[in-house]
Amino acid sequence: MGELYAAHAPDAARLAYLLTGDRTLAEDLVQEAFVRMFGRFRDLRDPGAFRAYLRTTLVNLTRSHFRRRRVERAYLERERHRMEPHVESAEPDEMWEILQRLRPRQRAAIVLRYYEDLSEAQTADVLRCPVGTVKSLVSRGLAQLRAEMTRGEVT
Amino acid sequence: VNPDLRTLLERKADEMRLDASIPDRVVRRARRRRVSTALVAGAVAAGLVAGVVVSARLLLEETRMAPRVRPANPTARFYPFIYPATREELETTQDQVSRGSVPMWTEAEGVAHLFAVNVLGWDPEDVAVEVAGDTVVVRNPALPQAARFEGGLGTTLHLVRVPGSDPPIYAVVAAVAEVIEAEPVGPDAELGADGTLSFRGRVAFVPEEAMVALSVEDAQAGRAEALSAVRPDGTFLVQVEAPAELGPDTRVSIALLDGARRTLALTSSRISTPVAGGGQSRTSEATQALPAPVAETREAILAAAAAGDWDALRDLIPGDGFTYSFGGQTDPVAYWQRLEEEGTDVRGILRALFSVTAVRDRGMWVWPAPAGKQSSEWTEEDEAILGELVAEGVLTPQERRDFLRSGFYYGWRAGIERDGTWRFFVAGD
Repeated sequence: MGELYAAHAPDAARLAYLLTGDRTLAEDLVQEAFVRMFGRFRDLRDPGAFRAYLRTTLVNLTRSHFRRRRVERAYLERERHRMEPHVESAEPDEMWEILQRLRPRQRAAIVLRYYEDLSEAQTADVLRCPVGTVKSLVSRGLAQLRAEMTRGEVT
Repeated sequence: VNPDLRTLLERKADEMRLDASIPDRVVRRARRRRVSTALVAGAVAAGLVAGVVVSARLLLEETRMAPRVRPANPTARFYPFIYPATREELETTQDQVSRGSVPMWTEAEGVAHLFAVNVLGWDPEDVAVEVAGDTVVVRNPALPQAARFEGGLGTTLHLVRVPGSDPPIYAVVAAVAEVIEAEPVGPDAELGADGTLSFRGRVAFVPEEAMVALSVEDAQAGRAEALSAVRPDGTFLVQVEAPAELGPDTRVSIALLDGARRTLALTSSRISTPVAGGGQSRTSEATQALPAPVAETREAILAAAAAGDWDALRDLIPGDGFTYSFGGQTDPVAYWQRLEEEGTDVRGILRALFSVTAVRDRGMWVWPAPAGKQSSEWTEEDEAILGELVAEGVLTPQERRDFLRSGFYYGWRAGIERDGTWRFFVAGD
């Protein structure tokens, strides 16, 4: 378990951070994913599938989290910004902030497509939805990004 | 946007740093999860099948819930109800009553109505409630699929009056869907990998595009839900990633949904029952001398079983709560007769069960003795009893191994209350 954690947890944390925009939450979700997957390691016939398995677990945990604790997360986000104002970058990052405002499912689709470089079919598999839904999630998400960035430039 | 987006994501991802060494707490939680999942599977196996009426009574004895529950030590006592969902909600109602106001719908019928609206998600105008003592059947004939089912799909709610409440306040201990039969699967390598709770079963009525939803909810661990399509023959298999660190308060629910994902019927209870254990502490002791009323009922059951006298058995079944099957059955004797036609020697099982040692489990005498303890607590005598039941054909050797592995006995078992009332005769699978 320790070896698998060392090999995969850092990458998983990066993905979780992109999905959530919250470092503490990302770390918690990665650890939760490993807790859940412990015990299945011995049954994993294809070790190469571990990363995909972990990715799916992580995306599902993220979705569950947002569904369950929308209010709580909003509070934590506010607190984080209040306590640690933008420690991750010297200047406010507009696109990143817009990305955080997308619906969790839209954000997940975009992150899986543009960061994990998954195909539409692979993304659909992870999100457990039809390929058409992935196309729609991504195109609408990108459209919202463009629109809000354009609006920002105008103002 | 796209190239910038890729660059942004790469850069942001690099800002996230995680120590590559696994924290001790993750290892500890993972191990606890494995154990708790096994416990849950065992407890669910017994708990969902065990008598909810029996459970309600005994749980209330154990919890001794007063009209005003003191929050001095809120975690020390098990909260047995599924509705109101939390002790705090019940306390709010109790506060209102104790202040002299009588909130709407604290009686059994009203609570059942609220359950249908708030838990099943039905429109208040559509809820049909049929009361029979502390048991209430709720139906929703306005749902097109439910309307097609003869009599309407019913969910039976087992309610209890919160002890000492005056005016009475009722709470729901369990919901049982008439059309859903379900049994837990695993944990095993094939279907119930660690961390996954699986149920298979059958629904007696298959709506168009029917789904079953399995949900596991725990105040501490959170909630998980999974959906699975019902096959055309009514069978289903549904699996959910259970939240970590479940406990006796965890609520397990199986719902039958129509094509629009509306709840047609629901089976739901907390996993810990007096019969199931599931982490509940219990005082079990081998019985050498049964109380006279218990001994008399046992003798009467043995005599009726030996004589093949179904009517005599029927006379021993109380009218205010008896558990013999999980879902779909209405007449215990007819059910047993059907089992016998299918090759199960029900009367032989009764004779074998009541011939071995019982344990006292709170106010109930339970046969066989291993049913009242976790397998880790089984004594040589308990092992001998299981051997005896295997020899009598009540259990298979594989079932015995399964009980040991899951941590609980959930085979044929029977219980008689201290006043001699026969309360259950049921098997976990």
